[in-house]
Amino acid sequence: MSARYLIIVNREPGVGTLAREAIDLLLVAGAFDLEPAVLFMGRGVLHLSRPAGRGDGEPRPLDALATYGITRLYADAESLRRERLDKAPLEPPATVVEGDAIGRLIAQSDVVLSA
Amino acid sequence: MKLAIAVYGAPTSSEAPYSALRFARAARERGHEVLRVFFYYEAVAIANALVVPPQGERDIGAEWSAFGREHGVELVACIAASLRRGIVDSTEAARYGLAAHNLREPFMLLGLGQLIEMAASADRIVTFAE
Repeated sequence: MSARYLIIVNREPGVGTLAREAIDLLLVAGAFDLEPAVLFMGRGVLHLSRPAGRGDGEPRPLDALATYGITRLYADAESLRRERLDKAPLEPPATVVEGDAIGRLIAQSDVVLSA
Repeated sequence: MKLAIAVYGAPTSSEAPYSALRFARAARERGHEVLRVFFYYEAVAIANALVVPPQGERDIGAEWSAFGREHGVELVACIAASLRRGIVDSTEAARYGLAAHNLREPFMLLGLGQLIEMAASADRIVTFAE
């Protein structure tokens, strides 16, 4: 059985190169057919919110995740509450997880990478 | 234990490169193997040979180079992140028609796939982000 990867995204979007490079790491893992799970935490949950004024049809790098086989997306509930995103639809859709579930997610993973 | 180290934080605004170096030295002293150190994001500035710290300040790039040479540890800077920040080896300088190259020895420029690969090869990957 291949290793189970979990990539944790803490970096917020919209800060230029650094945000783009975090997504690059996800896409490379996807390109290697690792099918990693991705957990958005801290300011990283802002990746799951479409910025105000941005057109609905306008593509973002994150929209390519499914194309790369990355479909297991998770978002930290506490971070969503802190960023006032707990009532908003997440885009792309992500499973909201509380603290205990995050611990299990990490424990179930063979490799945990920070992006 | 086989360890892999990822460094993300900038040498000019973060303790990450210093903390990672102290960790790597301590790991080696205790008999652990450091498979590779991968520099990503702003940490690739460590691989810039043209950085000259003011007199009296630590030269963290030179210290990493010495560590890599002394222990035979691969020091890898992400090629995409490096090119974005003006760090090139002779191969990339020739590819893009650049007048000079500035990659510090013994660093190598390799792709993000190497970060993924080393995470799988090591018993533990330790990240120094900020």
